[in-house]
Amino acid sequence: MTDNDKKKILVVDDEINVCKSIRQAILAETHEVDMALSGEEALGLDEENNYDMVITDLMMPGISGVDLLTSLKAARPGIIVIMVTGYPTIKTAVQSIKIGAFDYIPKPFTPDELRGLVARAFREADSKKASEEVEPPLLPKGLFLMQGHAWLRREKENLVTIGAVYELLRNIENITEIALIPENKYVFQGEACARITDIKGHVHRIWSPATGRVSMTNRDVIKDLDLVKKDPYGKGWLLKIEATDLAKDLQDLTSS
Amino acid sequence: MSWEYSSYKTIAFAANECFDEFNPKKLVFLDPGGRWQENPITLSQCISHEILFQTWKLGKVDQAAFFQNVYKAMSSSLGWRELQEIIVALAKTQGFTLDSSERSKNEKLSPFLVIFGLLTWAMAYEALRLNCQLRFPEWDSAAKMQNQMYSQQLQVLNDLSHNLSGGPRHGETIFETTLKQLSPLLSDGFKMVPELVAEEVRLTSSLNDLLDRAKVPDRREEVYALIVQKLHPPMGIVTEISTAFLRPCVRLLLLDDIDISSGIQYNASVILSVLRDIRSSDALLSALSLFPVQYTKIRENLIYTLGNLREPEAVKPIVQVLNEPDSLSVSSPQEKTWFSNLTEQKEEAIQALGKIGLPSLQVLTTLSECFEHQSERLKTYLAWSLGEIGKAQMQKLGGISADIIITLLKLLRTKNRESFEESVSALKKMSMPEFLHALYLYDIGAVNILGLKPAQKGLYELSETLNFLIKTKGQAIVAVNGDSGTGKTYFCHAIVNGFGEIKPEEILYLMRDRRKDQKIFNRFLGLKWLQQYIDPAYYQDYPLAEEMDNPEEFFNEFIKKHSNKKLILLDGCRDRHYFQRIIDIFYLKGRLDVEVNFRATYSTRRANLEEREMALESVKTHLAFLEEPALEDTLFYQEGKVLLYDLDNSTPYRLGQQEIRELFQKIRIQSWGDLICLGSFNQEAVTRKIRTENLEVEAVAYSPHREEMPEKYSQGVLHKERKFHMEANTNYEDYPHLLGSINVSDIKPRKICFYAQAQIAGLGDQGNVFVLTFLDNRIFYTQIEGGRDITLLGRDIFLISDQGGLLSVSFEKNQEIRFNNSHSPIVCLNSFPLSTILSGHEDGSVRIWDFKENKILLLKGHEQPICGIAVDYYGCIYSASTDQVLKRWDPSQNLVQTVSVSRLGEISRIEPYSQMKLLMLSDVIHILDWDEGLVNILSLPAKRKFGGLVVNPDGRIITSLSDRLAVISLEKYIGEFQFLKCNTLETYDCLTQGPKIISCGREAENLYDIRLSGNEYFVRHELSKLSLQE
Repeated sequence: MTDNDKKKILVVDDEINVCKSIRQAILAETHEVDMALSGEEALGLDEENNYDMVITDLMMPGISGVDLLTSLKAARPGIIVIMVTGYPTIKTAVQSIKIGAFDYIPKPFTPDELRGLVARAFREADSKKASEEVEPPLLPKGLFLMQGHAWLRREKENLVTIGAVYELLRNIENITEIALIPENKYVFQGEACARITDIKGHVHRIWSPATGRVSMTNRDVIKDLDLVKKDPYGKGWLLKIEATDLAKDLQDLTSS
Repeated sequence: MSWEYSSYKTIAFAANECFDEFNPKKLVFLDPGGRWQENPITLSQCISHEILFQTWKLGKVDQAAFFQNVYKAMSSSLGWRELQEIIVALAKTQGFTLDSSERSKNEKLSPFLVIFGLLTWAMAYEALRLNCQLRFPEWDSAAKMQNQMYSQQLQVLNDLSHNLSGGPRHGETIFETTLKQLSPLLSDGFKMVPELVAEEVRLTSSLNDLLDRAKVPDRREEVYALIVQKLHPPMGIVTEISTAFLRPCVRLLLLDDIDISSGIQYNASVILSVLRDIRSSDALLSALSLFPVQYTKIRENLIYTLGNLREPEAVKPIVQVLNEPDSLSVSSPQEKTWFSNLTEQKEEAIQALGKIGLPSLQVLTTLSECFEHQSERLKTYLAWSLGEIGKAQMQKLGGISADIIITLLKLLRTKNRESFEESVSALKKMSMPEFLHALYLYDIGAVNILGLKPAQKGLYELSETLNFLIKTKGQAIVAVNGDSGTGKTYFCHAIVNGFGEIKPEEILYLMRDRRKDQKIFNRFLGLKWLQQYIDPAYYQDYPLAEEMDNPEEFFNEFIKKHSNKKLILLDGCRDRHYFQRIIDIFYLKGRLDVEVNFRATYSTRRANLEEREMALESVKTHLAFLEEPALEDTLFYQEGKVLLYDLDNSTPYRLGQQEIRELFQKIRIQSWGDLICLGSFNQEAVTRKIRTENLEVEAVAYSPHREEMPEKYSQGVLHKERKFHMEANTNYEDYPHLLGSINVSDIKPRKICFYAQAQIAGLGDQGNVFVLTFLDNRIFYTQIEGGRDITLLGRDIFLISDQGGLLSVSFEKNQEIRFNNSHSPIVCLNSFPLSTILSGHEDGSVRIWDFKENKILLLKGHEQPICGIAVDYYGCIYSASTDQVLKRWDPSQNLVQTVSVSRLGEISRIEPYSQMKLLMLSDVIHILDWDEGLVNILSLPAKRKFGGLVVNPDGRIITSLSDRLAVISLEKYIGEFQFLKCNTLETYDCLTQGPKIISCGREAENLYDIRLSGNEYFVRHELSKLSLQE
């Protein structure tokens, strides 16, 4: 692979050792990784280098991660932006997906989770370029979506069913493990409710679109790992949740 | 197994077997017969042990490979028969007879043993050669004898080599050839062995000689002193101690016939603590059982070293001391009784158990019980230790014992800063951020901990600040402080050689502990000061006589001389009469730009010092160096006028020097200035001309009357507290300078003042006194009877009682102090840090309350009630009375000047304005300039009532004018007003904190608020972040 073929990634965080550890986690033969300590520095570097991907912290001195996202997207809509968030800004991260971030990853995260996210983002970008998309399964009406991540279906009263959207699943190569949050545990909107591991050991977190108690997990998807991809909106559902404030959660979701 | 069948495989097998049996914690070696022996003494025994240890350090995978390579190298010039011949001959010199029958019985007499033996003797030969080459003075007969002995031993080996069928070759002995062949295989550790053992042999020989001489009772003490001298490190620097001391010190430590009062065992334990060598573990454990608990200093060293070696076997012997009482009565053989204090030994035990980590879980109950102990330092160690054990437990076992959490929570309640910080740090270590987030910080003192910035973030911000100051001002003067071991000098060294575009020669680095820099600091302080406060040893070479000395002139010349420096770094641990005074000189002259204060938890400081100082005694001495006064009690902290970076440099947040250099490399945020200080406003300015008149003063002498400090009585204050929420500005178009507002209608604040970083204090209607902290968005408040004016001394809030007396309220101490007043009622207050309150009275008198000297000075001169009182940095007091008379009291000359000013209306506020100037607000603004002898008069663009007044560090005046804030810039002939919309009904008071203007006012009939404003850039970015946090 020549230097020109390499993907260029910029990591932005005001803590130099966070920058370095992210860089360390995603450095690969196929990627070149630069670092910036502020949003302003990032914009300057992006003008020179036209990065394929920017991984940015949300809260920094000077311009914030959201402002950086807005500026980057305005200049080059095709750029992939991943938001890194710390407590307590998950909600904003969810919203930042709405304004064009590919995804977000809350701190702390493992290198495998970050590598999984980066790989998935590039796969998605490449598949869009190649236009060799297999016909995606039809998105049923009546679902509420956390864009690019999860879907929610209202059952009765506050009971909801949750699953991963095909848009996300199609970019996960050969699933080797699915771990679901156990029954009776509480999960908050924007927190991981499932972890999918692929053949390369990358871990992909699925964000819960609602807050509440897990009332049931789908054991079938654990037995048959292909089920989530085969039938993501039907038999491949992941969890059922008794939502605590569904009306509020739905405000942050889009309707299918 | 026969020699002929030797192969790589058999060597690997034998090597693996050997290292399976090898115990690195003991001093063991292989004798020529391949049997394990303990406590090597002779040259070849010591080398045998060193080779085993160096090979063990290579790790399981490489141990066998090493010997296979050694075999390969040796067999390139020697056949097995020759090797066998050599090893049998060498064994014979040691009194061992190796024959075939013995070899067959012991598998270790294998090719492995042969190559091991040759390697040993090759190194022994080199060690002897080195010792023979040593020069010694002609008169030193002992050294001469030693040298002869080494020569004889070397000759034996030379002869042996000569008689062997394999050697010598090319004029070299078989040993020299072997070592040369093996050289490429040997790591530095192996290569050092001959030199190290040569040194050890010399040391052992001289120690043995001394120990023999000590057998004569009359000379014993003298000889013991000589042994102790031998154990002293070169130049007293413990870090210079050679590893050659390891085995001799192990032997000395365990010799039971040496009187402990000789200090020999203690010195041996110090050296072993510095060497931190795993090979001493077994001996240290034996010594721990050898010395009873009362021998606390030796035992502290042993425990300290075992802790540093993370020795799991040490847990049980170490924990025993925790069950002992704190003080032990001991009878010596001479029948003298003395008391041994075990507290420090207990502290070391707790610290060591923390270092050992998971194995200490078995003694968790005993450890947790130490919470009851009286020593705060012991509890601090306990918190750290529990954190380490908990972290290890979490990592290995996936959970934490309830005992650990419960004890840490109890420690949080002890209200001791160090143990509190250590407990918080321990909980963080155990990955419990959400738990900590929900933790209720019990009082305002504890809330301060939230103001600390992790060094990894703070140093980045500091880099932007320094680059900004250098770019805009041309020079930045920075004081870097912190207790010993917090990492301040480490930080300075990271940037002192230049960064970004700043060249090394553009940085001036002055360090408190460096002799040549002390000479400069001495000149700043002046001989008179030094003689009063400092030990003469520090200024014995002062270059001038007192009458010739002019510190002020020296300082000014210093600043002039170094005006080409872009950065001046002042590095030192603050002490009241020396380095703190240096910083104050820079601060009071308006030259100090930034204060960087490094803090670290007790455990981090200790870890840093352990790394630097090595020896326990030295670690403890440095740990005791604490800054005095505490940062919170310094002038620059209390006034909040310099940029302060209060950094937590504890282990998780520390940066390496390379990372620090990377941070400082370039400017990353162009508009950084607007984020750290009040930026410029886009608002259109209204200009007014400044009219100038001569300042006419009439000076007369005055003599202050001295009064006794009145009696006082204190009582507890029960304060309330509540969370507040700042409503972010949602109308940016109409209010581009408003960040947000806090509803404080319950308190109705009228006056506000700087309390601490990100905290303000204030006074509201109905005697409401409050402290508002932005660190965790809380207001602490109470109600007092009275409260017409407010001023602060440190964190004590001074107010006027309902009877016109003086009272103070402390939210930290939960205390209210009332002073009996026999004087005329107080009508206004001000303060002069660090210990003086000024009061203006209804009868026109002024009182100076000096709490340090515990006296009051009374100034009389006004005929009417005082309406404004102020003091400048030089201690000159300004008082204004309702009859429009202004007086300036100069205590250095006991002169009072009465000022005549035209167009003077009712004076509402007076405030010092840079050096020798005073701002006076009536219906216009007067700037009285004593240097120029002028009065500058600036009228307002529209008639409005003045409220608060603050002078921003850049010289702009901020004042509240009815429904708006005015930002006033003064030029020589004009004043520019920029108006910012504020409270609809009235804005009462204002102050600046960094980039923010904080004001209080009334928005509607029953709606009072505190507002945060700033320039457009700052507000826009802060609003964007506030929206993220919601």
